[in-house]
Amino acid sequence: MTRTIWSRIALAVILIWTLLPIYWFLKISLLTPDEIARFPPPLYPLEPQPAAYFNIFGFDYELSNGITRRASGQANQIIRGLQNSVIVSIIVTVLTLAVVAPLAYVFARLDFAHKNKLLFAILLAVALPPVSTLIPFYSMYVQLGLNGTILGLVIVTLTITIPFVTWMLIGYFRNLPQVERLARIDGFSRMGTFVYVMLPMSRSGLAVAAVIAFLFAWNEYTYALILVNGTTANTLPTAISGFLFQHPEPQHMAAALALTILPPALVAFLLQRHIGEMNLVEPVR
Amino acid sequence: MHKAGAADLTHLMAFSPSARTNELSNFSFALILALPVLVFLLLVVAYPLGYALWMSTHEISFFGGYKAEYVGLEHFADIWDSKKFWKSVRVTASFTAQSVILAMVMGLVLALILNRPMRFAGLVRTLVILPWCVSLYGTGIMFSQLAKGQTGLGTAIAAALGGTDAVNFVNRDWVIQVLAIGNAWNMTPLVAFFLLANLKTIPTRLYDLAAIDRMSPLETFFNVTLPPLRFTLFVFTCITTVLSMKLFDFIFVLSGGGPGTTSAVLTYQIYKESFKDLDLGYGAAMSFYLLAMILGSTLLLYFIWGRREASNE
Amino acid sequence: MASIHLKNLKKTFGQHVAVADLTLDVAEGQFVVLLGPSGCGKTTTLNCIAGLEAPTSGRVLFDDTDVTGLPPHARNIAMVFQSALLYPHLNARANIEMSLRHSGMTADQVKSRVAGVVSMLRVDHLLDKRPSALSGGERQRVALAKAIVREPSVFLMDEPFSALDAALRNSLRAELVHLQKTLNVTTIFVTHDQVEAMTMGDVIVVMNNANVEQVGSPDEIYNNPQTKFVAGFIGSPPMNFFEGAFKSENDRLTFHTGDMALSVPDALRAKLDGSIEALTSVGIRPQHIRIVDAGTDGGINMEVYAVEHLGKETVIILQSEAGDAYRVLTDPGFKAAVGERVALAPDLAHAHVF
Repeated sequence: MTRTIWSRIALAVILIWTLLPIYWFLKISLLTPDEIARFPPPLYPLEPQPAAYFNIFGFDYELSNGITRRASGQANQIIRGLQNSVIVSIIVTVLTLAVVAPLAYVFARLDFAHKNKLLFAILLAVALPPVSTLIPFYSMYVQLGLNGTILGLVIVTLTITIPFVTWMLIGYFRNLPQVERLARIDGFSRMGTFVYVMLPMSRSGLAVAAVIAFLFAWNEYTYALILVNGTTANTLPTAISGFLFQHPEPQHMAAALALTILPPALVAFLLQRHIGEMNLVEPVR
Repeated sequence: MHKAGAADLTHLMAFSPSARTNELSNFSFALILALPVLVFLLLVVAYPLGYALWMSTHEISFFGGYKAEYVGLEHFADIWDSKKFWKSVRVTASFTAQSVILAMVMGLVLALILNRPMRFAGLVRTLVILPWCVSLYGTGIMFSQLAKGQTGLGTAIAAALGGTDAVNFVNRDWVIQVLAIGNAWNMTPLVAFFLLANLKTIPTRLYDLAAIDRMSPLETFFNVTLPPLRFTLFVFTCITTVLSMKLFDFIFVLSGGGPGTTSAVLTYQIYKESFKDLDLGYGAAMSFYLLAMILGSTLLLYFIWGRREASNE
Repeated sequence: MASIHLKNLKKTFGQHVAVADLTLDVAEGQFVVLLGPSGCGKTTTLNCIAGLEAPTSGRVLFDDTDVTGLPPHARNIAMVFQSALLYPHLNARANIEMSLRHSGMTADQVKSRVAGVVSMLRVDHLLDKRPSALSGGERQRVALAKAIVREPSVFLMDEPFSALDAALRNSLRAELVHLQKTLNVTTIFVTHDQVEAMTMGDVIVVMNNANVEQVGSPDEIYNNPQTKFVAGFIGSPPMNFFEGAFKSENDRLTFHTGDMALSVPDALRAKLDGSIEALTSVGIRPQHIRIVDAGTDGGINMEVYAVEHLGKETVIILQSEAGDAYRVLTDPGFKAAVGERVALAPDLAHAHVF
C-alpha cells in the first residue's frame, strides 16, 4: 500500500516539475484581458477562450457575449516568422543530416590518423558559446551582405547542429553490429556498405538526429536576434520577442509561444523512445 | 564494457585492406566522406574564431564607415582590470553551479522514477522529455511569467493563503535561483534520459543480490545503482556546465541581466558590449575570457573527477 | 569446389604477431577445422582466407589462382560469422537475398535459388521475420542459408555455434557435416571447442600462439599428439602429465617422478628410441591409469579431490601432495570418497613423451 502511495507521490513530483511552467503560460493564452489585469492572477482561466490563437494570425474573434477581441498588430510578423522558421528549420535539418551521417559514421567505425584530434575539435565546437561566434559572424555578414537573410541564418545555425548531432550519432553508430564484414562478403564496396547497408540500418537513429537538428534550428534565438531580427528574414522566436518589449498583450505572446511548442510536443514521443540509443558518453571515452 | 570495446576495435582494424587490393583504404574513404564537412566546419567555426581573435586586438567602429585600428592586447588588459567583468564572472559561476547541481539531482531523481514500472510509462516519458524540446527563450518567457509579481505563481498562492502583496521572485535576492531553476528545468530531461538508458543496463540480478545481502534502500542505491552511473554523471556534469556557461537567450528573455546587473552573466555582458555599445573588439576579447572559463572548468572537472572515473571504467 | 593453399602466411598488427608463418594445403571438399584457444590466430587466418584482412606477407591460393589481392566477394566464398551475424534491419528473406545482390542474377533466378536453399534448411516459415525475432538456432539456420545460397567454392565459418546451448549445438553440428558432405564444398571451420573439432573435421589444424602445432585427422591428433600443447588440448577429460626423468640402470629403464620410480615397459621403450632427455614430461590419458590402494607398489600416492559421475563412466580427480590435479577414468561403479587416500598407477605402455 505504501508502495503505491510513494509511486503516486513520485509521479506527481515529476509531472508538477515538468508541466507547471507549461501549464502556467498555456493558461495565460486562454485568459481574457480582464482576467490578465486582475490581481491576484487567477490559478486557472475562469472563462477559457481561444481568442488569442485567432488574434495572432490576424483574425478578430467574437466572444459569446458579443465582445470582439481585435487581431494582434504583430500578426504579420508572426505569420512571416512562422514561414521563415519552417523554411530555415527544414533546410538546416536536411543539410545537417546529409553532412552529419557520413561524418559520424567515419568517426564511429573507422580508424584513421588524427581521428582523436578531429573528434576533439568537434567536441570543442559544441562548447563554443554562440555569443562568441556571433561577433565575427555579425561583422562578416555586415561586409558580405548576409545580414537579414535566410541563407545567413542557415549557415550559422549549421554551426550549432552539425557538431552536436555528429556527437550524438557517433555513439549511435558505435553500438550497431559489425555488419561491415558481412557486407564485404556480400560484395558491397565501402561506399555501397555505407549507402545501402548502414543508412537503412540506422533509420531510427537518423530520424532522431533529424528531429534534434530540427528542434535546434526551430528553437534558435540568439543568432536570429542579432542577425535577422526586424528584417524580412525574422523567425518565429524573434517575432515573439517583439511582444516582450511592446504593448503588453501577454495572451498573444503566450499563444504564439504555444505555437512554437507544438512541433516539439509532436516529436517528444519519438524522442523519448529513441533518445536512449544516442550516446553522448561513448565518444568521450 | 571496455574489453568489448577493444574487441570491436580489432574488428574495425580488420577492415584495413592491403594496398594490393582495389578497395579503398580507411583513410581515403574517411577522407572522401568527411573532408567536405570538415572543410565546411573549418570555414564556419575556425575562421570566425580566428576572425574574432583578430577583432579582439582591434578597436572596431561602424559609424562613419567600417574602421579597425590595431590596439594589441589593450582590450584584454582593460577587461582584466574591469570590476564589471569580475562581477559577471562571479554571477556566471554562481548561476552555473546552481544550475548544474539542480539539473543533475533532478535528472537523477527523474531517471530513478522513470526506471520503475508504471502505467502509461510511454506517456509519462513523453511529458518528461518535453522541457528539453522547448526553446530556451520559450523557457525564459515561461519562467518570467511564473516568477514575476504581476502574473506569478507566488502571488497567486500567497493570495489564496490570504496575502495581499505581489510576490516577485525576479528580484536582487532570488533572480539567480529563478534562472537556475528554469535552466535546470530545460536541461533535466537530457540528463534524465541518458541516465535512464544507463540504469536499464544494470542487471536486475544485482538488486536480488543486494536484497539477499539485506542492504537498505540507501545502501542499494550507493552500491548497486550509482557505480555504473558515475562516468555518465561526470560527462553530463561537464555538458550541463558548458551549456550553462554559454547560455544567453534564456537569460536575455527572462531577466535581461537585471535587476540592475544582478544577473548579468558573461554572455550577457558580451552581448551588451558588442551589440548595445557596439564595441565589437572589446566584446570579442571578453568572449575569449568566456571560452577560457568554459574550457578551464571542464578541464578542472576532468582532473578532479573525470580522470578517476575514466580509470575506474 | 576449390582447394586452398596458404603459403607462408604472416599477419601482424603493429608489434603483435597474430599469425607467424603458416603454410597449409586444404584439398577439395575437405572439412578443415582450425582449433585453438582464443588469440591463437585462427580467426585472423580465416579472415585472410576470406579477404577481410590482407596478410602482411605470404599468399593465399584457391586452386592455382592467387587470390591474395582479391576482395572477399571476388573469391567466391561464403562466410558465417560468430553468433550468426545478420543484417538486423532486414528480414530473413532479404538477408539471404543480399548474398546474391552482386551476383548479376535475374530476380527469377534469385527467387528459385533462395527457394531451393530455404527448403533444404527448413527455414520457410522464418522468412518474414527479422533477426531479433529469431531464436539462436533459427538465426544460425538463416545464416547458413545465406551462405549456401551463393553456391560458393569455399565455406568459411567463424565459431558459428559458440553462442548456442549444448543440445542445439549437437544437432546443428550433425546437420552441418551432413550438408557439407552432400554439397561437397571445401569448408574451413574455426572453433576453440575440441569436441566440435573432433566430431566435425576431416582434418584438424591445432594452433597456438600464432603457430600451427599439428595438422592431422582427428584420430592422428588424438592418438599421436606431436606436442604437449596438442596432447593437453585434445581429449576430454584432458591428458595427465607427469614431470620427471628416465634413468637407465643395468639395462632396466625407469621413469622417476617425485620420489617414485616406475619401470618402463618395452612398448614405451621402443617409442623412446634411445633419445632420453634428462627432464621430460610424460602424458597419460585418464583411461590408461588405474586407481589402487595407497601404498601399493608402483603407485603414486594421492588424495581424492572430486568425483564426477558421467553415467557410463566416472571421472575421479586426484590431487598430489604438490597440489597438481590428475584425472582418472573408472567404471561407473567405482566408489571413492573425497579426501580418501589412494594411489595412482599409470600404464606407461600408453604414455606419450614430450
